[in-house]
Parts: sequence; structure tokens; C-alpha cells
Amino acid sequence: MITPVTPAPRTSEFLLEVDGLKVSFDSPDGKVYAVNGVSFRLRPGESLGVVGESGSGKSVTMMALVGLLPSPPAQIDEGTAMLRVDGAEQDLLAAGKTEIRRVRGGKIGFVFQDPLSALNPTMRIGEQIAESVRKHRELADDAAKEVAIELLASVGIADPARRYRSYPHEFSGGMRQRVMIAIAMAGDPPVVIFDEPTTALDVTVQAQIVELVKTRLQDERGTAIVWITHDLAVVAGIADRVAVMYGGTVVESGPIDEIYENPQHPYTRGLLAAIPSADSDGSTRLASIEGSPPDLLVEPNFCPFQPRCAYAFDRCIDERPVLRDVAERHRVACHFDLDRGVPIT
Amino acid sequence: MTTATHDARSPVDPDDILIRVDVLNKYYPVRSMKLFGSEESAIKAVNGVSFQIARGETLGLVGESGCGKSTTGRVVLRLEEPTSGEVWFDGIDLATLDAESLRMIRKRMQVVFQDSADSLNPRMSTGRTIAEPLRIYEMGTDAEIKQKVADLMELVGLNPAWAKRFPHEFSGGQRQRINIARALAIDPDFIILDEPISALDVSIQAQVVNLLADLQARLGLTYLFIAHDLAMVRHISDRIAVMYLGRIVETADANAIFEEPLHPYTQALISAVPLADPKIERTRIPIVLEGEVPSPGNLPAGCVFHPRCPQAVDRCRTEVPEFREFTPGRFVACHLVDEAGSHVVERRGL
Repeated sequence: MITPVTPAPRTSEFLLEVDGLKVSFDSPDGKVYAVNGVSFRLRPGESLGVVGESGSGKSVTMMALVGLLPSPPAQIDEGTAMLRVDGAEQDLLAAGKTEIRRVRGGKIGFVFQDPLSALNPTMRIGEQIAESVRKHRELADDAAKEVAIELLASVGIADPARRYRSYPHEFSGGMRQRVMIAIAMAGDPPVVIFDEPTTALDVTVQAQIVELVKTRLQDERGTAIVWITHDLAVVAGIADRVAVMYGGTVVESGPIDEIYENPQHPYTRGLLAAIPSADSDGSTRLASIEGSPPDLLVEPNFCPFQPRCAYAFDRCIDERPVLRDVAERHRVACHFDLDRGVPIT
Repeated sequence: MTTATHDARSPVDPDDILIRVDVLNKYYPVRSMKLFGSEESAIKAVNGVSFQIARGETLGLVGESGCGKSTTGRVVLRLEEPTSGEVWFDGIDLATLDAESLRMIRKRMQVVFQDSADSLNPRMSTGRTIAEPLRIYEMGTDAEIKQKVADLMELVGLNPAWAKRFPHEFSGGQRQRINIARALAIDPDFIILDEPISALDVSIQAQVVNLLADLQARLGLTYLFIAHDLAMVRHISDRIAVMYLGRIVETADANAIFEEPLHPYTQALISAVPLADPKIERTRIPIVLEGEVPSPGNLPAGCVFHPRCPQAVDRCRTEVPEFREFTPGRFVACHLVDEAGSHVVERRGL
């Protein structure tokens, strides 16, 4: 089943267009339905926040796009992911190994939560950046080194020529994440995917990294950004649009203000109510979403949120809701009309 | 630096104080090899920390990784011996107690850690896990213990029929409920919650925080809530103590810490906290701190925050600021806070 979305207005408007992506894993307990029909679109220069809890499929979706899922056990069951760069169009999910390797770094940069496992511990920081520069820009060694030092400076590493020679363990978590951003910038890709890049960092360091991404990538280069996170507060400051994921699907997506002020999915509403507000002093209880996340071993022919949903009724068990338009570029996958308090007819 | 006036007192009757920590130090000696011989130095993980917690109160202890907040918790519980300083529990100086008396008083102090999976024995059923402290302290017959376990599971929102299940059969939030039930088994007065919700999903965090609040109201518990998620700390705490590099730099009412932070580090920390509101986020300008946190093995002279402080003056580089009470319950260690408890940036060059 492919989630139907409004047809894309001709081509070229979207830099990345993912449609009906399904990914499953083989496990000793059976088939794990990790991603169940994910669709989203990204315009050039746009920043999309992908919000979801563990097991929502947000990371698996992005790994599938850049060919980083090990297969087996992972398999892409359905879907297309069209990437349009410089007038050329390619389906990432149909791309061969060599082709997807060229996409990684060159067309799509990637920054992970844990830079220590993404960096080579035995190789100097600067050389790892220079390697990426050489791969994507066809520069001689000396020129690549110069670019790498410039990149180190632009991500805020003081004394970059000396720091070029440092090893990853000599850097703090925040500095290592700056290095990862420099590597992602090396190929000057039109889009960079950030997977929980600040989750392991302290709040003041997080503020530094967010500031860096905003100025160096968004403002100066006009890079499109996909920011995967469980943190609704971080995403509020960085995204133009938000996609909320639950149980391997996008349950709601829309412009950032719409999502925070006028959420139309019970899960989005629940999430926003579950975090303390700006002036929450404990005199009020947090609204909690009772129950547990979905069991991914069951094929979701129903609404994945239905067991925890206060508005669930028969149809939510019988039929999986698909994304429907509620406003301009605001879509929700729910059988219930929250504003009117009645089921969708 | 060792006078009692440095306590982070809450404005309450001394009899209502359950926990009093006085100028607590925890140093870890390090021997670094030199060309000729070796050199002895110390990592000052906890450096002159003082605070009080009243009965039924929640003190939030916040700060970034490596600031010493978890070590403070461990030393208060005497899971580690302090290098110096005093911990008073219900009017008793813990250092004066022999092993058996300490064991009996420890019954009244429990801890819940961040990693719900690591703190549970994977081969022990839920029922046995929760019953373990009851058996250790020989509290009740088998039948009584079984009933108590069922009551505890009910209390924390777990189905008592799950007593035979093992940790892997539960979700992260449910495992944290098991840990809370175990901590409550021997009716403690005081619980240290060390990042109890950090590993949980957002929708589950609210469940656990609500549970902790309910249990506190019902059982009159006193909490030390150690965490780095400031919005959640504000929600659950009556007062908040902010730590930086082994020291408490500011203690105040939870709302005051957020609305009127006085210490420059608190100001930077609060300004860096993002809020789930795009309109606020578009205009929020965080105070970005330059550089990195120095090593606790090589502390800066004067105020430990001065190398990164946007407002530091000469005096900050040489003189350690006193941790002083400005208004009742409000303590700050900063040379730039005047007698009236206002922050004075103009006093440059003093």
C-alpha cells in the first residue's frame, strides 16, 4: 500500500521527494515492520524537522535513502525517492552501490548522533576532512588540505592549521560534531541530513551547534536540511516544516507554526502537551500519553497510534488512515476530525 | 570557606530540614609521571558544595556533563566517601555513624538511576527484584513480602500479575517503574533521582514525572532530582541548584532561576534551553559561551567560570567568589552580584 499524496506539481520544485517508502527487517522473532509507507518532500534550501520517538522509523527512513542499511537483514519493500540536483533526476532507492556512494557526501551530507563512531580514530581530523574534499571536488592534495583547514575554521575550530593534525579523541563531543559538519560540507551537497546531532551534547554546546548549522549551512550556502530528532524544542528553532512520525509512518506534516499551534493528529497534540511549557512550574500536571510504543512485529493494517488514542473508534482498527490535506501543505493521517470532534466522512 | 553561612538554605524551620550538606568535597587523586619522579594532583569533582533539602521538598540539581552533579549524589548517599565535608540526614551527621547504624539509616535513602535496564538484574523476575530490599532488611514474612510487592506494583502503575516477568519483557518506561517500586519497597524518606527520565521517550517521560509527583504527594517523599533537561527540572523542582565545574554557582526558587538568573553561567545555561514554541525560538538569542569547560584536574584560579564568563572582571581572575545568600533562599557565588541581589555588569574594573 502506497500512501497517496497530492500529485507533485510537475517536476523540479522538490529537491527530494520520497513516496510510499516501506522498509522491513528480518529478525529471529519474525519480520519487523520498521517503515510503513513514508512520504515527504523537501524543497531546495528548506529545513525539515523529522520528529519521532524510538522505533518510529525516522532514522531507518533516512538511512534507506543513502544506502546505509545493511541488507540483509534490512530490505526496501516499496517506494521511490527522487533526488533532483542540477536538472538531473535519480531514484535513490533504485541506485546501484557505486551511484549511491557518489550521492553520499556529494549530493547528500550526513551527520550522526555519535561522531566518535563515525570518525576514524587512527586518522588525523584534518585528513578525514581532506579525504572527503578530494573525493567530491577533484583537488590535488595541497589544495584539498587548504580547503580542509578553511572548513575547520568555518565550523568554529580555533587554530585550524594546528588542529588539522589532531586525532578525534583529542576533541570534545561538541568539537567532534563540528568536524562531522565540516566533512558534510566538504562535498558542498544541496542537502544535509542530521540524525539526532545534538542529543548527546550539553545544552550550551547544542546551542553552539544549532547556531553553526543556521549560519554556515542555511544562511550562507542555502543548504536544505533534514533534522531528525525526538526533541520538539530543538526542532522549533531550526525547521521550516515538521513531519511527525509514529510506528513507521508520517502521521502529520506541515509548516512549523501550523504543527505547533494547530496540531491535527492526536499523537502530535499529546506530544506537545507532554513536555513542560515555557512557564511550567509544576502546579499543573503534564499530559501523558498512556500505553507503550507499537509492536513492530505486527503488520500495521490499522492506525499504529490507535491503542493509545483517546479518539480511536472501529475504523481505526479496521483501516489504516492515509495522509489527507487539512490546510496548505499541512497533512494528517487520522480518521478523526479533532477540531469538529467527529469522524471523517 | 568553611563557615555555616554558606549553606544553600531553604527558608524553612531547621527542624524541617531532612538533608543538609556542608562544604562537601570529593577529590580523586591523580599521579602524573614526570621526567624525575611523579607529581600528585587531584581532580576536584565536587568542590565545596553546600545545600539543604526540606522534608517533602524537591531540589533540582542541574549542570552539564562532568560538573559533578552525579558524584554529589553518590557522596550524599555514601556510595562514595567524601574527601571532606558533612552530610546530615534528619539531624544526624552520617560520618559519626558506625557501619550498622549507617546501614539502618541508608534504608531511608534510596536512588533511581538513568539506565533502567542496567540497574535491573536480567535474570531476576520483577517480583524478586522489588522484594530484594525487603529480604535484605528482613522486613516481613514471605506472604507479607508477596503482598507488599503486589501493592508496590499497583502503586507505580504496573499490573501485579506481571511479577513473574523478566526485565526484557518490559519497555523502558515500565522498567523505570520497576526501579521506582524497588526504591520505595522499604519506605524511604529520601530518594535521589539521577537522570531518571533521560533515556525515556518524550511521551513516556511525562508518565514517569507524573508518577514521581503523585508518589511524593502521597508518601511525603523528599527528592534530589539530578538532570540536565532544564525544562523538566523546573517542572518537578521546588528549588534548583546550578553546578559548574564541581561548584554550586547559584541556588534559588525554581521559577526565579528561569525568570531572573543571577549568575552569568546560569544566565547562559537558561538562555541555551530551547522551547517548543517556534515563535519564541525565532527571537531567542542564546548567550553562546566561548571555549570549553576546563578540566576539574586543573581548575582556573579565582572564579572557576571566569575564563568563559562574558562579564568577568580582574577580581574574578584572582579571588574565589563567596557563595552568599542575597535574599532568603537565594544563593549566588559571583562578584558581580551586589548586596541587593541584583546583577551589576557596570562594576567593571572593581
